[in-house]
Amino acid sequence: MNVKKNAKAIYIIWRRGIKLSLRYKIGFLSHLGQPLLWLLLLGTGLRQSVSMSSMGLGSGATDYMAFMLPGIIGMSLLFSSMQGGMRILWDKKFGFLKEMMVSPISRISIIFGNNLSIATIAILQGIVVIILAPVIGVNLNLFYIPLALVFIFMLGLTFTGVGVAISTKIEDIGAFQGIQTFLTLPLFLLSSAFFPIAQLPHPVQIIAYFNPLFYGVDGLRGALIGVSILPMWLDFLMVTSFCVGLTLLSTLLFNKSEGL
Amino acid sequence: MNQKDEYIIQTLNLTKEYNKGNINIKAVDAVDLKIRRGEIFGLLGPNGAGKTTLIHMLCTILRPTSGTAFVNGFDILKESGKVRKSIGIVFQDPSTDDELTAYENMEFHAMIYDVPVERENILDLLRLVELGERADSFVSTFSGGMRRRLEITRGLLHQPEILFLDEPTLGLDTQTRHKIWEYIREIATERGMTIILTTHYMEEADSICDRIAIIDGGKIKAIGSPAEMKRNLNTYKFIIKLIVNHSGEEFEKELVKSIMRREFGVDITDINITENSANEVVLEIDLKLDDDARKSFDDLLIEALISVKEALKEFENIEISTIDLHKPTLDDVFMHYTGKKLREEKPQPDHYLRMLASRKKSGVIIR
Repeated sequence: MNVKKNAKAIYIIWRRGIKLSLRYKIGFLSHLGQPLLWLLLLGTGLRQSVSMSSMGLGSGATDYMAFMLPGIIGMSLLFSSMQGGMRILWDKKFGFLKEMMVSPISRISIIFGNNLSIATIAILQGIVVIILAPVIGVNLNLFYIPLALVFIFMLGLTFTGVGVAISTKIEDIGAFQGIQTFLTLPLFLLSSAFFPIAQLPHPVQIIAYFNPLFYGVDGLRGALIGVSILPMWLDFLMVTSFCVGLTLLSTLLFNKSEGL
Repeated sequence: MNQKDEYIIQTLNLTKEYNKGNINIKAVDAVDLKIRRGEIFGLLGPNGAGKTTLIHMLCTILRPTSGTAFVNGFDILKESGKVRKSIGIVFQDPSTDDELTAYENMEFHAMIYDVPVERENILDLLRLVELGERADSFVSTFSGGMRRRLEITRGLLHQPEILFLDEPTLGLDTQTRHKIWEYIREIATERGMTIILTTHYMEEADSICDRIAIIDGGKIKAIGSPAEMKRNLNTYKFIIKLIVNHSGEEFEKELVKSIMRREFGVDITDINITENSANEVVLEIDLKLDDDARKSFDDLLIEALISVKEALKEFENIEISTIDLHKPTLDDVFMHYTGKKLREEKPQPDHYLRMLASRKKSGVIIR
């Protein structure tokens, strides 16, 4: 199968994914609105009581709301993209996967189309937060917003990849959700989304360095508010590696999985 | 292989084994099968006989353990892409997207099969199965029969040479089932499509298939047209129910034997005598008929009925309750080749409901 045909197949699967996501207006809007709620309620609540100087981030970080914003984007990405892996599971359970599997399109295009559609929704989620940032008094580096979107997109692909990889091994939707919860919480808490990991005990910090979301949030923070623990290029490199690695892993596992 | 071959499907020693622990199960065991272009071919067998596994291999979604098959002239191992383009398949379990409309399901199908999307064309196909009015309804609002019809017409969209139907009427009510049979016949005659269906309903195999293969334990036990198979079986039976006022089984046995011999000149191998709940003596007489006798069997039957009745009239103590002729059915054929009766599996009518319930329970956010 040639590249053009695969590209078309990916587009078709992507289009369906987007269609499904947009189908339920209320669900979609709440999906977009969730990060804002976190930001407005939690951010405003903690803004006054968190002392930025104690976080050891240097002089650039002055406002907790600004600090938290990239973290919130990362968190929503994590939750929604992992959940996105479940679409494959639903399609398997409801039989629609068979319709795709027996057609002339390649398995790779099914996974790519699926993952890209989830990542696309993730970008939309990020854009909403970025657009509304000035409204809640957070000034962003406009110049670096495209870079932030690239981070968002790659993180979306990374966690959809994790979700899909799990879904090839787990048949049961309840079990999938259990594993998802089990994974997302530590990934989130060890990402420096709400507080720098420097405040955690040292052994726990080491674990954070295996966490794609840690590099993602740090990179996003660097791009959006100009504060990051690691150099931006390192964040970018790590997120890219995780993204490529997990996308390949999910494709590989899906390709190997037999039985519908 | 040539496209114009008489056989559109040919399997060569096709085998699929599963290893479960130390147990090796041959789901499909060295099957050699030839299916002619344009016929409606039925794979008849109980659940677990290997029908679905066989079909899944022909559709290239399962890889055979050994052997291969040619579908529309293409090797299922080496040319799966071309095989996939040549076939349409309706799976045993639903395979539509609930959250898309009927039209969108069709549109999606057209796109992944690289068929130009034309709304009128799609609507025509939906009308063929009487779903034209519901084109823009979500499939989640469809009944089991409607989904099935949608799947069948969707399978036709890319104009395949071969349409596979895996248990097309499983779990459907009698009326819907007959309707589906009608569509299948229509498709076969109007489009000249080869149709391969699996079923465990005798009636289904008998009424729509040109030829059937009886499959059991992964092996093809017999193959032929339903009429041919029944004819070859030669299990004609007379069932005479008598109300007898004095006991003495031997008496009736001898009596009927002598009458049969006198009237038909046929050989009566055995007479099985039982008493049923209505206190009737039931005589089951197996008849072995030669070809000539079989040809004129219907004429013989009427004559026989009259003469049996006449002969029995002489005996005051015997009253005829009923006289039945049992011609061989596909059930008998099946019994003959597999040694067992084909159980009617109870379908699960709440299949969709259960799935929908489980879906709601998990409360998905992304979709």
